[in-house]
Order: sequence, then C-alpha cells, then structure tokens
Amino acid sequence: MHAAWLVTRKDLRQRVRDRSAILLGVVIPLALAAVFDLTFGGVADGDFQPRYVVAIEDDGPAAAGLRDALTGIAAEGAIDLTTAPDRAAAVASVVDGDRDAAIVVPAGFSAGIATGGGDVEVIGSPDAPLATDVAAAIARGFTDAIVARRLAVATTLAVGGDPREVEAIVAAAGRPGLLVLTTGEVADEQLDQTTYLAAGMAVFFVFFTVQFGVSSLLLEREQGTLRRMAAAPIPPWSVVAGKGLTSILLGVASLTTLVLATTALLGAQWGAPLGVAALIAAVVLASTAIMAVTAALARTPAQANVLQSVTAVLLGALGGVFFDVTLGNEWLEGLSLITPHQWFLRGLGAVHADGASGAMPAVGALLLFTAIGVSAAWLVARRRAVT
Amino acid sequence: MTVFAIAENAVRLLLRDRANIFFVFIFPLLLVLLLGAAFGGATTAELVVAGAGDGPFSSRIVQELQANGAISVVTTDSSEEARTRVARGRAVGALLLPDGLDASLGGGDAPAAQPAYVAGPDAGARLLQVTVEAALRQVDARLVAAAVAADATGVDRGTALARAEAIAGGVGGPRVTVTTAGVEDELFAEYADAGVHSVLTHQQVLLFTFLTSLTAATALIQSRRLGVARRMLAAPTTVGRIVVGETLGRFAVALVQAVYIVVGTGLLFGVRWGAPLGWVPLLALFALVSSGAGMLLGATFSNEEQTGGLGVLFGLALGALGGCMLPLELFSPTMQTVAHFTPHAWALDGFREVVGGGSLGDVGTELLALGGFAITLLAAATVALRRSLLRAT
Repeated sequence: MHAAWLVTRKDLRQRVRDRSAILLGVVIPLALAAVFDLTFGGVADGDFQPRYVVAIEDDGPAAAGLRDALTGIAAEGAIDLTTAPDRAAAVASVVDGDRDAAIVVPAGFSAGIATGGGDVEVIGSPDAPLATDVAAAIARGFTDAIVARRLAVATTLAVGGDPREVEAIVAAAGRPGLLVLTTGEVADEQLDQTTYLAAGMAVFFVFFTVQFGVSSLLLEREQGTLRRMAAAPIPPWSVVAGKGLTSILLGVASLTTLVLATTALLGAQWGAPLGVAALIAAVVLASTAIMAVTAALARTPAQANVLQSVTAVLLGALGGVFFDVTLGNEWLEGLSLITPHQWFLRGLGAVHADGASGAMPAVGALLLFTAIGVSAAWLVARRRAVT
Repeated sequence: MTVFAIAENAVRLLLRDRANIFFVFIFPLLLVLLLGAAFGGATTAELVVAGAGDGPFSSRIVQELQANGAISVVTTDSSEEARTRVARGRAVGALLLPDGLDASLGGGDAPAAQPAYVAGPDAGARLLQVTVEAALRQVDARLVAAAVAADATGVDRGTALARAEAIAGGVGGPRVTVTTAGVEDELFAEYADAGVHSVLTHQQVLLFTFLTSLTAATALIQSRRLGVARRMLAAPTTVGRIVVGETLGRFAVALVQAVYIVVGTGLLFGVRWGAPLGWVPLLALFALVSSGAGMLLGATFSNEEQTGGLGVLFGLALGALGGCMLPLELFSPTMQTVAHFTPHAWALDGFREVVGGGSLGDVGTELLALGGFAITLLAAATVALRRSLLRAT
C-alpha cells in the first residue's frame, strides 16, 4: 500500500508541475461553462408574459364580459394588457411590435349572439406564435361559454322544453360547470441551464483529466521505468493501484473545484452536497475504469491518446453534454444510457428534485460501469501479458 | 515549388495521425446524425393523461384532446409515471384524472376530486394548460346542457345528454378567428424555412472546421520543437513562404473536410445548402480563416499538450459566441453584436442568405468580412512565426 501511495505522489507532483492537468481539469471547463452561460443564458428560462391589446368596438354586455375576463387575467400578472379604441389601432400596435397579439370584439357582437353570428378576432404577430396561440385560447374560453349556453337552450327545447320560457332557461344555463381544472403542481427534475452546461462541461473534461493516471502506465512502459518499478520489492499490483489512485484523486479534485467555481462565479445550483459528492465519486470511478480499458487496449501512449479522445468525445456527445439528447427520440434517449455522462446528469436532476437520496440510482449505475470497466481492463491486460 | 512541398508535408503529417481521421471525417457526420435524431422529430407538444379509464366521460375528454393536431396525447394508468415524464422534460404537461370521475359525472354531480394539471418547466406548459381547459369545457358544456334540460322538462339525464351530444355540432355561436399581421422577422422566416436540421448542420460544419484547424496547431508546435521549421528556413526560402506553405496545407485539409461534410450531409440527410456558387466561396474563405487561426495558435504557444487544450477551448468558445451552438436568432441584440466579432457569425449569415435563395452576389458583405478575418490572422501568424523562428532558442 505504501508503494502505491508513493507512485501516486510522484505522479501527482509531475502532473501539477506540468500545469496541463490544471488547464484541462479546471481552467478550460470553467471557461467554456462561462462562455456558454454568457451566450445561452437568459434565453430558455425566461418568464413568459405575453403582451396583448384589446379593442372592444361593441357596447353590449357580452363584450364587456370579455374585457372583464381579460382584465382579471392581467391582474393576476399572467399577461400584460393594454386597450385600444378600435381595430385599426390595435392591429397597428401589433405590426409595430409593441404587442404580441390583438384581441378585437367587433361592433354588433353582443346583439349577434342571439342569432349565432359575430366572431372574436385575434390578430397576432408572426414573430410571437406562442403568445398568439395563448390569446386565441383565452378568447375561445370566452366564446365557448357563450356556445355552451346556446347548447343548453337548444337541448332543452329539443327534449320538449317550452320556447316561451327561454329567458328562464338561459338564466339556468349560466350555472357553473362540473369540471374545474386544478393547477399549481410543477414537476421539474431538470437542471437549470447554467447548471446543466456547467455539469456537462465538468463531466466531459473529467474523462480527459483521469486519463493522465492510467495512460502514464503506458508511458512508463515505453520509457523503461515500468520495468524498473517491477524489479523493486513491491507487490506487483501497487503500480497499477498507484496510477489508478492518481486518476481518481485528479478527477475528484477537478470536479470539486469546478462545482465550487461554477457555483461561486456562474451561479450554478448543483444541489444537496451529499448527493453531489456521491455522484462525483461515482463518476470519477466510472471514468477511470473506462479510460483504464482504453489504456489496456492500446499498445503505445500515442494510440492510447487517440482511443481515449475518441471514446471521451463519443460518449460525451451521446451522453448529452453538447445538447440534450433526452428531448429527442425515445431510442436515442435509451442509447444515451450507456454513457456515464447521462447518468451523472440524470443523477443531478434527481438530486435537484428529491434531495441527496435521489442520487442513488445514478450512483448505482455508475458503480456498475466501474465494475464492468475494471473487469474488462483486467481481462484485456492479462491476455496481453500472456501473449 | 517549395510552397507546395511544405504544404504536402503538412497534409501528410496531419492525415497520418489516426485521431485526425476520426475527428475530421467520421465524427462530424456522426454528430449531424445524432442531431437529426434528437431534433428532427415531431413539433407537437406531448401531453400525458393519467387515469383515463373506459368511462364515457374520461374517454370523451381524451378524444377531445386527441382531436387537437398541435398536441400528441400519451395515456398511462399511473399518475407517478405521468409526473416523471413531465419532470424529465419528455412531456410538456400532464392531466391527472381522478378515480370516480365517470361515476360522479354520470350521476350529475361534481366529482369529489377534480382533474389536475401538472406543468413542466417548459414555456409551452401554459398553452397546453389552456388547451386542456378547452377540452374539459367541451365535455362540461354537454353535461350542463343535459342537466338544464333535465331540470326544466323532467326528462331523464341520460336521454338529455344523448340529445346534447347529437346537436352539439350544429349549435352556432361566436367563434375565434386567428390571423397574423405585420412582417415576419427575416431571420426567423429563413430559419423556419431551412428546417431545424439544416441550420444545425450549418453550425456544425463551421464548428468542426474551425476546431480541426485549431487542434492541428499542435503539429506546427511539434515542427518548431523538433527544429524542422528552423531547418526549412535554412533552405533558400523565406519565412513568408513557409507560412504560405503550412497554411496551404491546413487550408487544404480544412476545405476538404468542410466540403465533405456539406456533400455528405446533403446526400445522406437531405440537409439544404443552397446554390454552390454561394456556399463554396463562403466555406473556402472560412477554411482560410480557420487555417490562419490555427497557424497563429501554433506559432504563439510552445507546449503541445497545453495548446491542444487551448485549441479546444478557443474552438468551442468562439463557436458558441459565433452562433454555432445556439442559433443567432435567439441571441439578445447585444450578444448578436458580440457574435459578429467572430468569423462564424458572418459565415452563418452567409449560409442563411444562400439557403434563402441567394448566390455569390448576395453574400458580398459576408465574404468581405471573412476575408478581413483571414488577412488579419495570417498576418499575425506570419509575424509570430518569424519571431519564434528567428529567435535564438
């Protein structure tokens, strides 16, 4: 054990002196997360408050009812509402870009209800399709209520009601419905954009950080120092253990630094510390194991470099580091589960929703990756040693 | 000619590295494929409905929702599954129908527990909510009509409900008409026209070309370190010629990669690029800019490993700032100005013009800007390389 620790200490000192570990492990991911945050920040997480203008050209009670409904919604803060004297003025403000959509009730609307005519017009800006759709939906809520009353009257008359009692029937038809949609619950296991970007960059670069330890084994073999270490009176596994420990320590140091730095500098919110720590430990183990497999498969340090870069980039892309793969195809989402990156990001999402204990499934999966990786690396190395 | 000899050498060195073969030719297409799979799908919002049994009212609600072409309805028995789907971002929102809904409504009573809407974090959750409310209103209208009719005439509720269903379609009344006014923002329109996948691919080709050139800077550092560059100087050639030769080599690789991506994605995935007379000059100039950037990086720094990392950093950072990750259309006005300090933004503007039907003549400004970038970078690279070669180290 002491020999392994010596190997680790030597490697760590070498790496830190080299400065490339610090660059790749901290500076670059942090810089990228910052740039991405600057570029993308504030786009996705905006509060959606559509701006509407309403023009009521009718004097009747029905039109006033729509205006009151809209004013009520505006008072709740869900929309930003202004009024215009007529249709032309309302449309002008939409064309100018001041308003996202105009809602117009034409003259004769209230009178036309009894005869079945009169439409409410929604004129939206082509640059605000979502706001336009919401305006149309609000307007439909209003017109649907009118149509519902007409249906009640028509049904009553159809089953034998007395036409002379229409007034009473209309009044009765105004009763509230039986169904009320209750709202308020929000299900959100997704990381906010800043944290997602920070986590993505962190987990992407950790694969490059941990590669130092395991591939230095190949470098030492090439340089001839490995043979001399083997000749020393130390247990044969201590060199490998030492190298592995180097990778793990570098990886944990890098990720921890990134968590702290992105929290302090970018406002990322990683979540419950215990959960995050568990995920960091697990993903560092998994990435070390995977990089160990690639190192075992390679014959020279140059080859290992290629194999490791390709593996890290492929798994990163598939794992959702560059763009969110879970929003697409079902099978793509399933495929992404073969990457530790996706499990790391999901684990963080679960911690965000459920606290530290939410990390458990992801940690379990990452430990499974580690076990598979270590076994595979060991098998490959043994076969190579024999041949 | 010395210049071509130097260029040929640079190309051969670059291609001998297997990693480059992967990153230059295979990975870009893979990524475009992945992007297509991720973003080329449906544009409908997903709504999960939980707890809709076989009852007449809950199935009616689901029917109303399914009739809406803008949403895709997924049904499940478990409200937990519905919540998880929304939490993970797969569905925009969920409608949870309580047990006993059909029984209560059948008896003419309001249900003890009302339907609940679970919103996800997406901005479209609000629109989905009002859509769900509209569907519930349709069903409710028939229930109320039946109740009123039954109360007024003494007919039984079931018969009244059947009558209401039958005549519901024919009942006139005010409707809502939706139109648009005003001129569509040009950028938005062209973006929508080209299709999301095409725009994403335009971004990727620029990102990769630039990234490859930057990471290839390590080859130049190696050549400096090994003294090869200095020996080239010993031959009857000038620093300028060396720069031209090395740049030409990188330019060739960059251009080949870019054209390969354009043709490959066009043939394999149907990505749109527009008239060749439009995109070829844009790509060529951008490839020149990339080579210049790579040369500058390789001439300025001395540590290969560090520079590899820095190349990745600058490649991704400038790409992001230039609109290669998030489309320029979605940038704030300030960030759009910042973006135009990168060559990427100009190239993307050019692609947009060409896909929108333009050709060589329409992208004059963009070509000029890219030319400016190229000249500046190559000049700086020449100065840096001369300084490093003529130093005594």
